[in-house]
Amino acid sequence: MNIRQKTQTQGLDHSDDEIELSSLMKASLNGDADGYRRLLQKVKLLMVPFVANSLSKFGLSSAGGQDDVVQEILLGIHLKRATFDVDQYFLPWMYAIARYKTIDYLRRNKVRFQSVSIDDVFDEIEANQLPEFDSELDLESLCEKLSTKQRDLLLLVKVEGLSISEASEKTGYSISDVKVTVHRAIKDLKKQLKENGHEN
Amino acid sequence: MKTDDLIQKLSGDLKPVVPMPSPLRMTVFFSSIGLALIGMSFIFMSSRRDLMAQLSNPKFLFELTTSFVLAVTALVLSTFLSRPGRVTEIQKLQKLTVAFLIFVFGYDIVRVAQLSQNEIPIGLSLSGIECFLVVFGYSIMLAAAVLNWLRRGASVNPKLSGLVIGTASVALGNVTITFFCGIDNGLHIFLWHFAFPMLAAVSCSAIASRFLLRW
Repeated sequence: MNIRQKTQTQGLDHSDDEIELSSLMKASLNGDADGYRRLLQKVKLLMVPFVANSLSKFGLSSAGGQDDVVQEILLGIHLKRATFDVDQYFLPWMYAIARYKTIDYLRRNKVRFQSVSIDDVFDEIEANQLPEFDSELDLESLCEKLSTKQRDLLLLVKVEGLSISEASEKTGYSISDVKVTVHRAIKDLKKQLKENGHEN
Repeated sequence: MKTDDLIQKLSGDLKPVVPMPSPLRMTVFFSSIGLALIGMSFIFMSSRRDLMAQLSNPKFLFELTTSFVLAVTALVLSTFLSRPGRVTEIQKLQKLTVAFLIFVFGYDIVRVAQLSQNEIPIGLSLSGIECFLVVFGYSIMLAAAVLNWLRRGASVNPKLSGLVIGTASVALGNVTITFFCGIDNGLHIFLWHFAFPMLAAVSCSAIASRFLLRW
């Protein structure tokens, strides 16, 4: 089950965003300026409605304020990009920064949170934008029980989308070896899911 | 400045970034600092007279281990708190840290409850301030080192990070004082080795973190 299948199974359409942003972020960490610019543009597109919704919930809706918060989020992402773990999802990382920066802005503008729970408000906003990453169906934790060879080949073929022959070339294993290993890895994952009570 | 200009500026001079070490590596690093500080304490203070005998006492080793485990759990949590978006791990580690904290406090309270009337004044004696100062001093040094390092991270809850770092530091401070203080009175240990240093160090750490971990 790759990220795309996982989020689609949950009726969410964020797999494309997650895959694209994760790969752009990985490239950016290696110094790819063009990829980084595309990443920030994409983040900006996601952040504009997020910030607008967040601020309007607290009665702040000036365009200048929204721009300020979006820029602070982009700066936060830039300054703290070393905290992004390439083995983790990008969107939860990005939204955690966005939430922190938005709350910071609200506090600086002396917005009072007594009447509403700030966490509830952000949970509601993010629920409309962020896929729910079910920990029980977490691919990484499921893969931990596979052998290193199984895990590496499964991720290459099913997550990164390489063909069997490309994976074979990249790893040095024979084509038939890759086929058999990936097949067994999927079988083991299915077994684990059944044991965890995910019959379907 | 327009947002698009900012994006151009940020991406214009991009250099590769070395990712932060994994939480596990950071925990090992912080624990090593803590252990080094414990080692240095032997230079400045003389160990309790019965230390060698105590090191073969299962009860003594159990108490040392529980404090150390609490410290390590809190340190792991502090490293995860410095990385945005790790909600699942943070929730699990928070529960684990609170469980260990309750266990350590509960264990100390049971020990206090077993004391006779004659032993209570010994525990309340102000001579315990010496132990408090050792634990507090140790905790402040370790917490400062951890806070300084975690400034490179991005804690989305600085106050909680401060509380957790303070807890870890006091737990390791508690391990330290166990090697030097020969008073085995339960009330003395509860008040001067744990409760008072915990209140003081955790408060300082939580306040400091609000300034040091802001980004």
